[in-house]
Amino acid sequence: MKWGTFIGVMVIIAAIFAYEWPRMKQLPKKDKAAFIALLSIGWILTLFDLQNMAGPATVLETIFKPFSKLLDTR
Amino acid sequence: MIEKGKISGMQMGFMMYPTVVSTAILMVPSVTEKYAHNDLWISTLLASLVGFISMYIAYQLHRLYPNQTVIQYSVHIIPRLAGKVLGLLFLFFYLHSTGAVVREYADFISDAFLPQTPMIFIASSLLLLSAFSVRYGVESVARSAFIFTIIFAFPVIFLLLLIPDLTPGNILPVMEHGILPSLRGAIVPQSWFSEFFMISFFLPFLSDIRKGRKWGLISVFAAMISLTTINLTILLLFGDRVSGMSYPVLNAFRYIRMGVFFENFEAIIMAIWILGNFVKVSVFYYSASLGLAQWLNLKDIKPVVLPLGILIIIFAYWSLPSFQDVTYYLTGTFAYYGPLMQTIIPACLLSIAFVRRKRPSSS
Amino acid sequence: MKHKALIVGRIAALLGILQMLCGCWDRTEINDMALVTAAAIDKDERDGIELSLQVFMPRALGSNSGGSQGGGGQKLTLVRSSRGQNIADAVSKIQTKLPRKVFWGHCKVFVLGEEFARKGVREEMDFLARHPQPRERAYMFVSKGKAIETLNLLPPLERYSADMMRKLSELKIGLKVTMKDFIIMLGGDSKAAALPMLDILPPEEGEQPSQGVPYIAGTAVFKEDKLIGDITLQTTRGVLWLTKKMEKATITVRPKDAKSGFITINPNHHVIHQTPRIVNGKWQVLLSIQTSGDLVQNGTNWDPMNLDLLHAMEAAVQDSIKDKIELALDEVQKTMKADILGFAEDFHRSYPRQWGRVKNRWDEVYPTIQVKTDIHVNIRRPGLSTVPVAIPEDEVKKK
Repeated sequence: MKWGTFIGVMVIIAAIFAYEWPRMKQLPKKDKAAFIALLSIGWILTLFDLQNMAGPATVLETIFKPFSKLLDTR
Repeated sequence: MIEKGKISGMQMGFMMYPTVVSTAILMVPSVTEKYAHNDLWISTLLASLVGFISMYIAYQLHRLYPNQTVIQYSVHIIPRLAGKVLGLLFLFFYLHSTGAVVREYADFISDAFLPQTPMIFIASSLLLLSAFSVRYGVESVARSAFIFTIIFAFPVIFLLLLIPDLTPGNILPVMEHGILPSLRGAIVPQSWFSEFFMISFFLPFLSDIRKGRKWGLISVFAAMISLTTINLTILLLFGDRVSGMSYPVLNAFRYIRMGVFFENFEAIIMAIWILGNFVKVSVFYYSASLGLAQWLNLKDIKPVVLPLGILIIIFAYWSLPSFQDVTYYLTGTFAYYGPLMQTIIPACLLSIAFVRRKRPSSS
Repeated sequence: MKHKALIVGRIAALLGILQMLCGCWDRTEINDMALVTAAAIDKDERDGIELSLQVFMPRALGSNSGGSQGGGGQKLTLVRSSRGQNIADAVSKIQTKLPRKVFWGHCKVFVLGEEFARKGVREEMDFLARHPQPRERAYMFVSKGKAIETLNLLPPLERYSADMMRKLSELKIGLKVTMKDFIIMLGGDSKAAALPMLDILPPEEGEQPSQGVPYIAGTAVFKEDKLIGDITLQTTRGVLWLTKKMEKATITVRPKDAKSGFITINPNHHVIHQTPRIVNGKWQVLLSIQTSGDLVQNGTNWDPMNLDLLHAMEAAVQDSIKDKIELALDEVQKTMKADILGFAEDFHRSYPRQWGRVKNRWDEVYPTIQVKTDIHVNIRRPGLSTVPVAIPEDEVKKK
């Protein structure tokens, strides 16, 4: 984990929160919960070194591997 | 209803055109040339068929379930839980695709124009701009698309300046090895054309549905013509060398020269191209945000937009360390993933819906 | 209170956005760039190359506008060179001798040294095609001798030698080959390429050695990616006819039956068709040329207004064109066996199946291809004089 990324992401998340929260007063609890949940998912994920980690793209590549014979892509 | 705005059929057509064309012009010429060689222009013609089919499916589904997007009617067509899972798959698909689009854009800009600038800034500045457009709903996305698409389509005219440098003979021999190479070449571009299914997210907000079909067809047709023209121009200009280039379109625009002194056009043209990408990203971003808000039965789209932006950036980088990985993802995975989600699954939904309509409804 | 906070916030946001406008990381000021106008690549004594860059000096342009210096000779460019394993390596070494960042975007001319070209150019062409700055429209040349010498010249008529070489190429006296064309030729079916060959006209007596002038002396012929030889400008004319690239020509011939003197015509409109054919298993190329132009000089005593004599003149010109073509075929096709005429592409396009069968032994097939010519010359106008000038009336041959 790099401290620069960590602080940068914190600042961005804080900025989004500061911008959006006051505008969400009238919305139901569910909307607020979704907002906070999404932000936390984003925050947690950025803690990892994502570029070099297996992820959804890897899963999809494995699923669609049989088809890639059509084009001999790999 | 989450979205209160209304758009016209023409605006929808103008949204879809750059959604398909803006990134396709970068990758499609070299990928199709790799498999179809000098028949690459046939490949885009064949690929556009998928565009027409996807659009037709989205339109028919819309007629059965007016005022609903694919996230909403999938719960009605198949059992509720399965429908929710399918909705989640769609959300994931659009979120991931938005990430891939942003990544393609950032890769290109940093490769060709801003090699020193960290890519994250290129990606996030475009995404931030789109986020503000998306927050204000479908009308703001549609209106900005309307203006930008007109400007975006303009550079195609600049290609005419290349006519003196073209070698018409490069097109021969047509279909040297039959139609198979063209078909293989069509596999990658058809995934771009399958993106026309996204009109499903915009049809419910049309003020006049009949115009929606007309403009949908026009925009598929325009995308087909533009991509074929660009493929053909590049073939006539560079011949066999196309597949060896990372971005043949960039090389083609760089080759333009008017008179003896008016050259180096690409800076202007690429500035214009960014507009197209803005439209593409905001259309994808909007679809993902609207889909999520509907899937969670939220009251408003606004709370999810900015947090989704972070997720999109994450998807743009996740397990894609290099340009080669992005290219492999687009040619080896998205080429099948895209049409699966946007053509085959919707086709299944449509046939199930038809069967259920034929029988006296049980629900 | 709240209103004030809002305004402060907005101003802060605006200032924040303004920061982005300068494009921070990739900001380049024009006076931080060394604009390369031409580059020359030579072979060094060992395995590597020697790269020379002609760099534009903007300050010299400013001082020149005073008008005190007469004409050319004022140095507008400087030349820096360095050795390296390849171009990228050599550039990084040149960079240490230049206070400004090397910028390729305006480089219009690349000159390959003869020695270097004989060794093979593919490796260095890769840099030019991969780096985002060099333009595909830049012109390519091969120089007799060392390429760096062409950069050091101060041609009297143009601002710097790169400009001169570019204009020479655009005149289309010899071949005009851009980087794009060259790369396509190298990777094409025919596996051969041609570039214009530069030579240096030695300076007049009493002039400085740098006062020499580069000129196009012929065509350099590449097979695979290696220079195998060169042909003269005369032979190049034949190649231009064969590749349909002929634009301006001045043809001077002595008609067969004329007692003395030459006629010269300037054909300026050509319709050239080159059709590959396979007749009874024999590979042929049919070259049909229709060209027309004006009479510019008539040294014979023939009256060009007489139709019979006019036709005889046309026949003489036809023979001359045919000779050039045969000369070119003899050297390029029979001797060098390099397909710079692009026959491979032509047959591939018209006879894809038959081409597929001989593809691997094209080297053997190519020299056996017959070229049949069908040339029509039309002298359209006699110019401003009808009869031969300055000859007594009774000596003019009218029939």
